[in-house]
Amino acid sequence: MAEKDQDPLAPWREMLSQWEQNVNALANRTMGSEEYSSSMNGAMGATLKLQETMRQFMAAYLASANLPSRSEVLGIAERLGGVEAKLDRISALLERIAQAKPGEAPAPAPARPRPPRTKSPPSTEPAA
Amino acid sequence: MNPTADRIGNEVERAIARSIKGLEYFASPAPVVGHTPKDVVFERGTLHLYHYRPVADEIYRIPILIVMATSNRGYILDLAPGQSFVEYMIGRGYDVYLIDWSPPTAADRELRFEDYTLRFIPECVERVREDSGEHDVTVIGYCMGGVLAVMWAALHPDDQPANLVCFTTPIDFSQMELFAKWSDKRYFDVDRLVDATGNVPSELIFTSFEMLRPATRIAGQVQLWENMWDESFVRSFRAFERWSTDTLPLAGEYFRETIKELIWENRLHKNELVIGGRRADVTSITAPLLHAMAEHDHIVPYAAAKPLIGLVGSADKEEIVLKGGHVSLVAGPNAVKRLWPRLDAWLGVRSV
Repeated sequence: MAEKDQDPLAPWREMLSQWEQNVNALANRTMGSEEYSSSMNGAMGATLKLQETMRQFMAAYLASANLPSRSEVLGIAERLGGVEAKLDRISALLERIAQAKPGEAPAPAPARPRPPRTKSPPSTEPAA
Repeated sequence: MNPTADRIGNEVERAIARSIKGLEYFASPAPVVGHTPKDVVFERGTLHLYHYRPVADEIYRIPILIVMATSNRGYILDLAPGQSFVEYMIGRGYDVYLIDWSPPTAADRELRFEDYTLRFIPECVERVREDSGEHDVTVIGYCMGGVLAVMWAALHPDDQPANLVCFTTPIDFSQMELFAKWSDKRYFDVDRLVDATGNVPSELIFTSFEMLRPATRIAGQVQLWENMWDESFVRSFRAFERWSTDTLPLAGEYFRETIKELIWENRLHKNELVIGGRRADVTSITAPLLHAMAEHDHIVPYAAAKPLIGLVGSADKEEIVLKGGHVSLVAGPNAVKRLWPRLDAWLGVRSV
């Protein structure tokens, strides 16, 4: 307490905290109104309409230029991700096969040593 | 020495350190997060199941599966050494698995509640069972991760978790007042949004969270400047800052269902939610339940979270309300002192 009294910046910190609370409270009251919901969603609707128009325009343009659209590129990226994951699994399997002796089945993936599941809680009484 | 002169001297030193470190701050790279060693157990599209390497000589019999919120990255639970929930839990002898989410791709836009609760979580529970060799699994869900865990448990009355732990999990969505008003069905055309965007962009999710406390970011920047001399404050601030701006897009159909089924119709609270043709009957949850909530949670207010305890059929159930906000409840210096030891005390005796 004594340290707080001596802190020359304490009033500033208090003021900042008050300002934050007041602005948040005011903003919450404003943004909690029906008018705000209506205007915010109206603006979002207009933005979506604009985006949709732009997307249609760009899709038509890219098709005419014989170029792939964003969704087509994303589709290829998705497939590529799947191919990479499959390659990882195949290469891990090949490594195990390469390490196996002739005529033996490849060893399963090495298991990480695990501690025994024998721990008891420090107290047997459930916490209050 | 005059204490006031001392104090002014300190402030001058801090002002100098602030200016020097302020320059370093802008030139330094982003903080490293998610440092606890882990292995990938299973991946499927947007889902990643991690297993954190145990560090204790012996561990509790029952493993933990954490379900992260779908809107945010899982590294909030593994933020920095000394401020990591995962690190704390493995240090206390728990075997920890975590379901984390990456941004859904265009192919994931069709994901629905049923994919998360009838496919993803059950598959992960099975993987944890196989990997750990234990049938019993404790499930912990944070925020919407808690909602998904509750839905999953409600859909599987014959295959309950050993324990169910929820952190700030909303059940009565009518009490999430600002979200409910912003998504008022008279003005908010969710179909148009999802149809136009596919997956709902992360910017929209981030802005929704920011608008709940619009002044807090500015006040935070002022506090950062004031504490720029304090390296540990700056490190922690930057890690939180990185996480809070690193929101994830949401799968389109999942977002549509969240708005229509949970916010508009409040079906989880009314106990009439149907997923994949099956009723998610919350009263059929019988697993021991702990629900931890925050006193000053501006995202999930207490009124939205508190009905869970009353709804479930568990005989062994407890709710705790701790000081802090939506994030500081589970991460950061206050969580180390408050939530984590309370959870350890509750869960330890139920993990043998």
